[in-house]
Amino acid sequence: MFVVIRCVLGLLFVISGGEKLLSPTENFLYVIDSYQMLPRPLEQAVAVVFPWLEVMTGVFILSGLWLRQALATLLLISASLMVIVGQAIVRKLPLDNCGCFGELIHLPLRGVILVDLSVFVLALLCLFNIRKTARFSLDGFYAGQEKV
Amino acid sequence: MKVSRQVLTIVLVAVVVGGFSVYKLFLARTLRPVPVDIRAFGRLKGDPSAPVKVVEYTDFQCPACAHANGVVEKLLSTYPGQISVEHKHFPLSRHEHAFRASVFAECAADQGKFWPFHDVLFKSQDTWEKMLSVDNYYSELAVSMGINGARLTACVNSADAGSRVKKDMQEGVALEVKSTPTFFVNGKRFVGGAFLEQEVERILGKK
Repeated sequence: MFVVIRCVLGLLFVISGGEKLLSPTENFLYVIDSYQMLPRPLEQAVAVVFPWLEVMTGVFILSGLWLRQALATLLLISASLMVIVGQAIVRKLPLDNCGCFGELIHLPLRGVILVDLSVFVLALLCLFNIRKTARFSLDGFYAGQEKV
Repeated sequence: MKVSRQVLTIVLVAVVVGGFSVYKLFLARTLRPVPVDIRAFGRLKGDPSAPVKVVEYTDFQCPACAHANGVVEKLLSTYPGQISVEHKHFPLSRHEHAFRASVFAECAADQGKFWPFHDVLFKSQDTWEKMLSVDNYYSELAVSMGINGARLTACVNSADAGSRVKKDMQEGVALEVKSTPTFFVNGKRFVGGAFLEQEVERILGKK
């Protein structure tokens, strides 16, 4: 079961980041700007870097290489997203869509908090059960080699 | 052959970064210039020879587009003669009345009233966006601004106006327009009114 959860989490992040990477950067920049949290130059840096972070985290979780570190990164990302979306809800920002999956999936802010919370809890579960989660993974393969 | 974990990490990162970068470089068309398409029915506002040419892809039911319309108005009045704005329809499928609004706007254009109708649609967005059916409301709006009702009805019931809207949408898709409002300022892409304002002010040397 943990392997399935791992694959779902990895795929989710690869798709989410991949959609942003394959779309013009300006679209995601606009999404970041809508949350009114960062100064413009930092928004531009985040618009470029964040999709790569999502994709790479997803790829490492899927392949199971550096799994512990990748899951920790995922925890950090989902916690940050909950804070960012939460402040938008509290400030009643006029956002009808979170923008987290680009134009692929449209989720209202309250819906995306639930998604982020689920991701956070699942990643935490995987981290606490790292041995089971690392089955059929590259980490598992290297661990097997080290035993031999 | 034993491949170390570090080497495999480098290979994995290189494959992912390379794959996406190749797609962005060779398949994405973000740098394709956007021609200003001057049409017979006046969907161009401002001086066509203005140094700043803005092409807007908007959706009449999108709240951010209504907000950005205010920014466009402000820019046109602040910099008279220096900006031209061409409208392109990009009704999003999740906005149930947006396509119909564009069709009515095209028919208003046929009677030389595109921009007044365009502006009133944005200003009254809160009123009509929750309606079940919008045709009567749009017709009343149009007639109130002097548009011939019979000609309007014939136009909105024909396929022609819809096909013009679809042509804009196809152009937008080819230019990778995905969200609204998307602006091309002298061919360079910006999403959202704030970034449009920033770019226009940068070009015209006010900031």
